[in-house]
Amino acid sequence: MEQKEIFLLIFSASLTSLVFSISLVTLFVLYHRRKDYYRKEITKTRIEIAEQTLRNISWEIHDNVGQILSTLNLYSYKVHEESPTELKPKVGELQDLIQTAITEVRGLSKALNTDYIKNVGLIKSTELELSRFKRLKFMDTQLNVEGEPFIIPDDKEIILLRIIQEFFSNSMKYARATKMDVDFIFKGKELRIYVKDNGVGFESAEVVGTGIINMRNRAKLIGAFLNLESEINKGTRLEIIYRKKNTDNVT
Amino acid sequence: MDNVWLYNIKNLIEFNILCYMFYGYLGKFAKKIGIGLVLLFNLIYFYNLIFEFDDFRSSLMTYTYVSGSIFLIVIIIMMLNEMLKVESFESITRNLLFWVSFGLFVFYATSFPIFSISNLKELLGDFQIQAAKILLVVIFLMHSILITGFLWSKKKYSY
Repeated sequence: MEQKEIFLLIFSASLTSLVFSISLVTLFVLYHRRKDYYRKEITKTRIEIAEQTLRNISWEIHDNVGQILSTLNLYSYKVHEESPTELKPKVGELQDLIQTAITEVRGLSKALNTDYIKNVGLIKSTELELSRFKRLKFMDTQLNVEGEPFIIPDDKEIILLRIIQEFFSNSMKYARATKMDVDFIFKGKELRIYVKDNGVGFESAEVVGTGIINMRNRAKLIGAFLNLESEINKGTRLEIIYRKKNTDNVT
Repeated sequence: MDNVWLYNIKNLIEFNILCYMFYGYLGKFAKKIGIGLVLLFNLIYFYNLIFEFDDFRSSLMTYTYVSGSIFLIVIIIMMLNEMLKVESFESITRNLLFWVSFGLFVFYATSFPIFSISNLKELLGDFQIQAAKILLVVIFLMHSILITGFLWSKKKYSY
């Protein structure tokens, strides 16, 4: 073979290999990006379905159970009027109980309803949730807001609230907590949320329940940082850092 | 060509270290293949060393270089395959290992046709310079990728 031919052979072989290697890595990256996109879409859909279910339950509670309780309340006034004097205190108690039930059912309906949360905002919703716990004597609660709150898009606000609610429900179910502190700290473009309970705690490395996985997936979906720290018998602390995105103003 | 034996020794160390570097990130089955490839490379190397000792001293051992490059590429592809199982897209592009493997992949895939000729001067004559230029471009490309990786990667995404 001529020198030129050999050189051409080497050149073409090198070029082919170069194209092959670059295209393989590019394909790899593209595939990964698409996979990531699909995963995010799936999580989003799953959360939307969960929200829809919660909303339906909320409507059902409000329109069905709520109405029955209201009717019961009306009847109770009638019963109160017509009942003999010795029974009046008992009927009065009954009325109080019905009132409490109505308030509770309304509170629950509000906590579940996405539209309501969208209207009142994240902090107010958290406050309502905490006051419900206080009212039901589940635990002592404290809410703290520092800094100047900025606007967070509705869908992200709901996700943040659902993460906090998940933490609340875990604290009640497993941790038997008697105290709950929630801090919202707005600083520049950053919102830091700290939720702390005084429950039994868990070994951070060992426990990975569906609740925790859900919390992490939700945080990942809105690009928030989530950290869960726990110490046995000292309680659990949830930290969420949400950074305001430039696209947030558009939505 | 007096110091060419140094390059031959360097190749042995280089391929073994690079294979070892990627080996830790392979899956269970891929690890077996990886070990097989590394053993095969060393076998080829020492076969050449023992039976063609004159070549070892006087010229680049092309068989070992080419086989080393191909084995390394296979290991890198297996490692990229392993990376597909990792969660997010960002964790891949921000991972230093990804960029290092990409750079080495491009370099070894493109340069082994040139290194497969032990005596460039005899075979290519004046075209030797052109071949060196190709090599220069490839080296430039590899280092650009590596530098991008060092700048772009984040510590929290490293393995």
